[in-house]
Amino acid sequence: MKLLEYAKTGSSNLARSKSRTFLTVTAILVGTFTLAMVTALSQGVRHYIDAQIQAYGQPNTMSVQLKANTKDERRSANNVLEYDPTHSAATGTVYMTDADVAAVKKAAGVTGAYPVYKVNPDYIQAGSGKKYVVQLQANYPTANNPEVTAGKYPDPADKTAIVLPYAYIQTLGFASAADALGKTVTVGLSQAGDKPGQVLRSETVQFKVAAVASDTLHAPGATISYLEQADLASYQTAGKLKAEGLFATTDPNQTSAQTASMKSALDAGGYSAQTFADETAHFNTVINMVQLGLSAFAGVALLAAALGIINTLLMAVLERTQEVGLLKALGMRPRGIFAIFLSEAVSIGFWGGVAGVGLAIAIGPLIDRILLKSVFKGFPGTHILLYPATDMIFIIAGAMALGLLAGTLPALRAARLDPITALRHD
Amino acid sequence: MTNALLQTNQLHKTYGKRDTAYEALRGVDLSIAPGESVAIVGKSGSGKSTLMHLLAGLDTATSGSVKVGGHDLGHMSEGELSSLRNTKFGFIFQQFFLQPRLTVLENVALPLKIANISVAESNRRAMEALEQVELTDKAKNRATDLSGGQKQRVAIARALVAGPEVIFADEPTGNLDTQTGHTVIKLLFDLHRKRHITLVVVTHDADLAKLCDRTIIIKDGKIQ
Ligand SMILES: Nc1ncnc2c1ncn2[C@@H]1O[C@H](COP(=O)(O)OP(=O)(O)OP(=O)(O)O)[C@@H](O)[C@H]1O
Ligand SMILES: [Mg+2]
Repeated sequence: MKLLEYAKTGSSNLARSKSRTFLTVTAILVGTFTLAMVTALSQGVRHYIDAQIQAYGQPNTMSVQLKANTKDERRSANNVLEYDPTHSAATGTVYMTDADVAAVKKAAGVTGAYPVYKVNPDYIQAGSGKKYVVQLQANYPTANNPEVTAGKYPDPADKTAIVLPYAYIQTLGFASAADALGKTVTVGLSQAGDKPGQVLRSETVQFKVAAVASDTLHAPGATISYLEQADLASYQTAGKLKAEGLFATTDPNQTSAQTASMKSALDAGGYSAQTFADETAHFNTVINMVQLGLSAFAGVALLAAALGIINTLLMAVLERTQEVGLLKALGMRPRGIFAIFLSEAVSIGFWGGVAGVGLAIAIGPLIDRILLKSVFKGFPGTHILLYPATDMIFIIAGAMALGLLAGTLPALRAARLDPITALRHD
Repeated sequence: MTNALLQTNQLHKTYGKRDTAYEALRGVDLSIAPGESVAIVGKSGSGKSTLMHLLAGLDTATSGSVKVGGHDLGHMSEGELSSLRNTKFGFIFQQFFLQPRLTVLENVALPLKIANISVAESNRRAMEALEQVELTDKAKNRATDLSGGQKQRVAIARALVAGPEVIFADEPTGNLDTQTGHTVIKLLFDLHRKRHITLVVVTHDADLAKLCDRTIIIKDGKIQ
């Protein structure tokens, strides 16, 4: 008998005890379905985050922090920060100085470095409309500008320009993104006093809408010139500017080795640099960990299912002992018997894998709809889950391998049956 | 006899171990020539089936030897024994042992399928074998649909299909009424004569034993 014949015999034997086969396949299905779902979700989320970062993040940029803030070097065993005379440490945070900016700028590969100042505006308003809370972020001189749905990204030095996030267009009373272009908006801000609720002074600043940013899940703030950002921060702090970190630009033609040596140079200087790629990698690490954790659950389910396969096949061997005896008497070799039972186990794995993956794909649209209504509300696409063919085939192949492993013991037992004992069995 | 097809030398078979040990064969010396028909008779539990199983390489002796065409079965690998049973031996059992899920034709073709012969060729030869037992009209039926006599005739066709040198039959008429038994016996001996197939038949049936060239009587694991 050829291998294919054994496989055919084995898989057709599955039909002999339909309910038992069904239950065993279902057990596998639970595991493979979970695996397929976890894969689809994490692939989808990974793809989604990549897309988000591609659209809004800026390659060849990085954020630079003082290691004192991120690492434990200057903290005591009980997490108390050591006093550093060159930096003020009133709030526990160490701030960047002009010397830091100069030092970062000097590192090979760094093309520019700008202190990041926080501005906390009170509101944004179009004409005499309602006032809304807003966050302000700075637009630094970089080679690449993020995507916009309307208008043109302004010159970072243009202190009167503002880029509004999409969510603010209708909110502020504009008919459309195009309608908002060139219109004036007012941002109100004030300098807070030391006492709670005390306001020392306030002012309003006018901006011209230069562009509208594409819609995104985590709605970023409105973007203004970095120069204006510094001016407003200075107003709010009465000239006592504080930068927690730096925004730096890097050479776009940098090789990964150069990036690594640039980062280690910065590290040696007491800075920790997070490049654009680092941030993506950070997200991916988190997703990988979540995926691994969820897959472990699927693994446990599959392990239980493997025991089910063993049990099913041991029962089949017992039931068909006489048949095995006859086949041996008629001249089938032990390895032939082994192949028949093993292919039965592999078939169970195969069908369990196909059913699990199939079910996961089938209910994908439903899960997508639920996700889009809850966690991923406002997501621009129509589906989140992704089913890469290679991953799905890998899951099915894995289920077959599991069957192969689980089937070995029962198949060996069948192969070793003594023909006479088997024939006398009833 | 030097040209013996089957030959045993001081064959012993003990079942079980220590306190449950039972010596079913106690030194059997036997020689069967090609084309001979031999009846093995004796009381129930005397060791007839045990002897037949050892001769057919279905079981291994505790001591002594079985030679088939001069080759010691004890020196053969599992694979060699399998192919010996597949090509040189045919088996007929009291309980028929037909596969209920298979058709009559598929049951008959089973040894050929095991021998890796193509489906078309297997079916052709199985049909020929069914002609010999006059059951061609039942070829497509399920094996379970047949009467006892018909089942045993299918089993004979299956034993025949690979063109064996020896057919081993363990009480082939044991589950059949006298009338049907006679039909089966006649069939078996026709084949034996026409094709010069060696017959080794374990039986309680005196009529069947009489038809054989030689009768071997077993008592308490020994030849009398
Ligand atoms: N697997 C076994 N384990 C233990 N004892 C066995 C086994 N097979 C057979 N025997 C014993 O060996 C003896 C011979 O058995 P065997 O089947 O050869 O008898 P038999 O002559 O064929 O009897 P019957 O006419 O009833 O078929 C019997 O006493 C039986 O109980
Ligand atoms: Mg017997």
